[in-house]
Amino acid sequence: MNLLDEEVFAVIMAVTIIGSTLGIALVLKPEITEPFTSLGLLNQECKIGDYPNRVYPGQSLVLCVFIYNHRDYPALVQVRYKIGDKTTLPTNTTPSPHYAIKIYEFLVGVGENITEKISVPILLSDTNVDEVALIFELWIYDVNSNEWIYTGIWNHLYVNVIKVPYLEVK
Amino acid sequence: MNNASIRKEIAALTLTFLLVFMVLIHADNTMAQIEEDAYGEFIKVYIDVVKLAEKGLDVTHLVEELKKAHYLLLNNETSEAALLLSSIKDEVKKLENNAPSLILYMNASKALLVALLASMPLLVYILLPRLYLYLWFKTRRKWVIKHEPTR
Repeated sequence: MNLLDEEVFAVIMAVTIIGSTLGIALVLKPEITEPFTSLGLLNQECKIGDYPNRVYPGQSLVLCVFIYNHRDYPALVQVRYKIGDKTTLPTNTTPSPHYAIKIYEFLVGVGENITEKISVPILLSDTNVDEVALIFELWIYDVNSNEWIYTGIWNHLYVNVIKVPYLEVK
Repeated sequence: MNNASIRKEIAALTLTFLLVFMVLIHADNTMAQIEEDAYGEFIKVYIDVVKLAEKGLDVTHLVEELKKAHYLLLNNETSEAALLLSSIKDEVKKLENNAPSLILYMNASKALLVALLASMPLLVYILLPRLYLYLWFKTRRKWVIKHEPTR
């Protein structure tokens, strides 16, 4: 193969130009183009699936949360745990109206993810319910407004509440 | 023991109890205040680190230290957290002072890399034929040309 052959040389030049353009694009492209944070709910072995589906009031359930920070700055986040039902789930814009039973706070570095075991207390105001939703909302600290803001990201897990049988003492 | 002395003792006991109670409440409030202050300090340092990260500076080391301070704060180890936060604050200040030169260096190295990549086609166009010919002649320099006269 003769490199100085017109056609061969043209191909080499084309490859060089494409490579150079791609290289420049990669260098100039910002590292994070679409910033986001994500939240995942995992079972007690920190794996997807096989979630507990029955709980009893007062129980402490062990679950795992996964948080990923795809932002160009370290994210200070809170996972706010609430207990609700089908009618009081959060939306993309509003959190659940229930009060947070427990708040788990994490600092996640740029492009990092964390998986942490959490102990979730089953505190029910009404023990006569059959099914409740364990709600986990992701909040982030906003450095511009200096306050916690709801990210619109949440996970929920429906669980059946076991009624403890009432033993009558005679 | 008469009634008057009993009353006096009860009054003294009540007063002592009240004093202890007030001291405990004050201590509790002071602890809560210290914890709140430490958390406020943590937030301030966090905001500074975020601002540095948004400028494009590498804050990985600072974030690791902040994580440790955060963990200490969440476990109510306020004094250790305060110590760590103060050392992080110093590092943040150093980085803030060096930020303009670091940003300039980063931008300059990026511009240099872009310029190098942009000049690649031109370099290939000019140098490749020359290099090829140089190597072609070099590999064949011991060749002997046999000349056969045409009949």
